[in-house]
Amino acid sequence: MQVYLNGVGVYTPGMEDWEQAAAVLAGNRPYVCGEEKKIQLQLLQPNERRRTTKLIRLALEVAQQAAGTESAADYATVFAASDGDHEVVDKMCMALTLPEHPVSPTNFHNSVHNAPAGYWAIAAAATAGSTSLCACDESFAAGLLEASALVEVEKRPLLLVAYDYPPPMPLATLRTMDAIFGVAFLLAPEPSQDSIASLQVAFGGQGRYSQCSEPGLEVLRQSNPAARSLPLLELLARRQPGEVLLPGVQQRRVRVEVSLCR
Amino acid sequence: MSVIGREELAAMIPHKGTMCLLDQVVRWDQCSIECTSLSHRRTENPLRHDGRIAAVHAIEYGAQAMAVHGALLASEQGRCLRPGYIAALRNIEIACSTIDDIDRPLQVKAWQLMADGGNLVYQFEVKAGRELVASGRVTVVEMEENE
Repeated sequence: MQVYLNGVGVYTPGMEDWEQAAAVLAGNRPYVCGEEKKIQLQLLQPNERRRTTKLIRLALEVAQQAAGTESAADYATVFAASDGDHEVVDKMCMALTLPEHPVSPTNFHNSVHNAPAGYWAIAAAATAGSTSLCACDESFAAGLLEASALVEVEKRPLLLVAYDYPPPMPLATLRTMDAIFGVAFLLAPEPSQDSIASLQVAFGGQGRYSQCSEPGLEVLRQSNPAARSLPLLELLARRQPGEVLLPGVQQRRVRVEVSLCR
Repeated sequence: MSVIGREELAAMIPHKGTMCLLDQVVRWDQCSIECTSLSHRRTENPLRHDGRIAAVHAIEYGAQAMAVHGALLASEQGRCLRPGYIAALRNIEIACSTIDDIDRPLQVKAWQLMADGGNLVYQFEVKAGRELVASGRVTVVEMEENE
């Protein structure tokens, strides 16, 4: 499957957009894990913004970076997260232990896996098709596979958003995730003047999956399912054609071949 | 091109006995296939539940047409098709509630939208005469050798 990459969004403390991430991944700046800041979303109305969680804000932030301001409403979307919104799960589980089980309507509303996709649809006035999926630690690769197949079959641009936020205690004892990471790709079926690279995406096969060369980034890669995208982002940042093998579903690899467009 | 009968067709796909739902391939080319079947009328159809066959099973008819098409293309290239499983369904439309009460043969068409080895995306359509029974898009992912 061949798709064209027209936009990239990245957010992790220390690399808050693609420009910052590209400087680090290209080796022009050291990677320093920064402090977590509250993501300020401009694209939602205050009453919707108030209901968002950290995970939703992370997803919308990278989606907005990759989509830019024009035509965001026309893009189909694939949202991929490893286990959904731990913050919501935690709050609802806590509420269920209390007398009368006072689950907040907002948390209940946010408890579905496609909640971030829903907020994006409202924010971008997007009415095109949307898929939300999860595949544990392989969620980014699964999302990329789904997104590429959709772009190829439907011949329309699509926004892929992969994001994961570490769980709070006590869930953190059951699910290890040490970093905040979100990534988004704007993909298109045909090359255009906006195209950064072409990605040839294939499913299947074995082989050793790609890692990051810099130790700090390799730790980050292992600390969040969405950060499994880092070896691919490294190639893009270095403007280096090449191939990465991502850990895919059921022990199979997802192979991505990168060719540069400009 | 001659019509492919039930026996030959059944040998091409992993579905066995009455679970092989299609009767004939009436036409196929590189991109599409058209099959017919009367198995929805037969009492021994294993998809019957309380005597009826829900229209959702029309998707299985579509998926089997897809499997036969994959096998035909593979054998043309001297290959064997590895078994796959349905990984995703999209834009499914079902126009009625049961299919065992349809008198006419079902016409089952499938078009290939994408093929990446044995990983396939097809559009299918099941009709009885001019009436639509079901349509949609099916993604099949092939099994690895060790699965």
